[in-house]
Amino acid sequence: MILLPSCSNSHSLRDMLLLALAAICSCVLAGCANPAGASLRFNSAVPGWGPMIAVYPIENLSGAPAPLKELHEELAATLQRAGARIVDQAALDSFFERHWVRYVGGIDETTSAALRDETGADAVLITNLELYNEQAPPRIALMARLVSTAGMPEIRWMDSYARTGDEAPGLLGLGIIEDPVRLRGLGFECLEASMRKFIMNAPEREHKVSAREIRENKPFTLSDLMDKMKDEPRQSADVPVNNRPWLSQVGDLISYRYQPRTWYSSRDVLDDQLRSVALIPFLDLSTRKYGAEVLVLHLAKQLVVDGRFKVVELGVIRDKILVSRIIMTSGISNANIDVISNSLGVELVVNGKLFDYLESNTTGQNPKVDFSLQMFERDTRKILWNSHSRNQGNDGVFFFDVGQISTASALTDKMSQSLLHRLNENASEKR
Amino acid sequence: MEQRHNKKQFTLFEWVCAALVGLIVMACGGCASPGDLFRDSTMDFGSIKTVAVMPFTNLSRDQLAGERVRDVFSTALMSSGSIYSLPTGEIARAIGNIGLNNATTPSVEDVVKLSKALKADAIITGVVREYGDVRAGNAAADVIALSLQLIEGQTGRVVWSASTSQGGIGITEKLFGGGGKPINDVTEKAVNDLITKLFE
Repeated sequence: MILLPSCSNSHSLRDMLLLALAAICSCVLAGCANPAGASLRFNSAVPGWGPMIAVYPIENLSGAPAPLKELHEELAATLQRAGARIVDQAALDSFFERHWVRYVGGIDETTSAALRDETGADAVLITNLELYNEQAPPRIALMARLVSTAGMPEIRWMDSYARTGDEAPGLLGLGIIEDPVRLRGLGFECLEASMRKFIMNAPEREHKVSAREIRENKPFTLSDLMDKMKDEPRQSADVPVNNRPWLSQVGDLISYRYQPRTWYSSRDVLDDQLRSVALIPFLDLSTRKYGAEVLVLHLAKQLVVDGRFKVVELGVIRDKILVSRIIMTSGISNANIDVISNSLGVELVVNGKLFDYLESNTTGQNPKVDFSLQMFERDTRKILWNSHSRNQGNDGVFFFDVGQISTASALTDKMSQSLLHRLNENASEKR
Repeated sequence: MEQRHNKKQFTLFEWVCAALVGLIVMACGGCASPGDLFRDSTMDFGSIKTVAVMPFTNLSRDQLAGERVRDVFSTALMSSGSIYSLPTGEIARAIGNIGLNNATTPSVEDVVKLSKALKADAIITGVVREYGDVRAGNAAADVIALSLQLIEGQTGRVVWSASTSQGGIGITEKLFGGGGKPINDVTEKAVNDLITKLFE
């Protein structure tokens, strides 16, 4: 009798048990994993690194009370533990008193110069608290940016952290975080690691000629002025520009899940020169307090991470709008574009409207974000990009909550990323 | 003498055919367009390149319905690639400059003034008649009813007008319940329907 080898009987019982054990261990480890990536731990023996950083008090954009002083102290302690060179807190407090600094959500040009002169700070770390809830499961969302104080303040690095305690429960709920202090500690460590990585190994950007230099060095001619005054640039693209691949029509798969629902692009090339962009405060029609501010921060983050544009510090824009006494009740007008672009020397102006910014809650409501965005060109004042984005946390989720997003912060981040990706595709030279 | 009747007797097949024709006629009558579209045949629509979408009149319960629908419509119009829709901020500035009291329903003179100030070829006004959920028994679904007018900038004449209604409680909702499609999806569908009517 000939015995044929059987594929099904190739594993013994011992092998099967070992495989099952390995699978269980993997599940547990996956549940306990930090989704934001492994955080680096440092000790005081590590020598100081990077620029001198002034750590601004945390701005509360959560719309609810939060222990801001504690959070600020924890952030400073995390940075100190990691060996960052930070400006002494007493010196910073006295600077705030001398200059009557009350707004800590950004920094204007004058304050930035004074801070550099008086405290020796090379950069300012501005942190915004987007979401904070200590009730189980705790929830936190933070955004931080590093703004250079040399010359015109410019955002050099920006990152965010958003997590709920029950986001990665793992096997038997071992991955659930119930302690808010631990959760925020993870957040600070994640942000610190990201900033340190940027300072130590700054990403190499493609060298581009500054659009501002080209504009300022170009001699003035009457024909140029006449060309700009013409209405021709308003001509739209010849072909419909919102043709999406069929994948997005069927079930909103993968990367198309968070892209804008409808969009218009003038198809002007925007990546041939280094252009500056100013994000003007959005019109807030949502019920969320500070919703528009949070949305602008997420868009700024994606623009900074992308690196194709130079992003003007939001505090500088705020200051110019206040000084120029600009009030925008229903969006930006041509006159406002002129004032802002001339005073800031930017090539592009971004504005928009926020319709919905809903956080998830304990009743099972999914986060929901709905906004529209317009990008204007300074000289012709025409719209280069116009889009409408709308998503929920459970979009594209079909089985066992795989791919579910639990915070509005993470959802906005993905939507902004997808929007910028789409914008770059339509405004790229190598299209 | 036997009297012969000339009256023709219908066969079963002919009766069935007649019934089918009757059914088709009834079905076609039900599907007919209610005549919710007006188009000025003398107007050259190809000459319209720039439009100003005015704030919509909101007759629904949702206070933001007008602004939401206007934004979706404006973006969708631009994304068609044929018409440039002016920024809402610029329209608001022009409304303030010419001292327009009722921006949702401008008069002929106001339209001419506005289009001159904005350098727009036409003005679009609209009415959101219904926006939100409707209920019938246990069933509930989102519905939108919207009508638009395109007014020529130079003369102030209405050259195009259309209306649409999307969503609501259909046979599926009545039989199986459920909330129908979300209001945003219904809005996009209504806006796309109107844009199709504009370009057809």
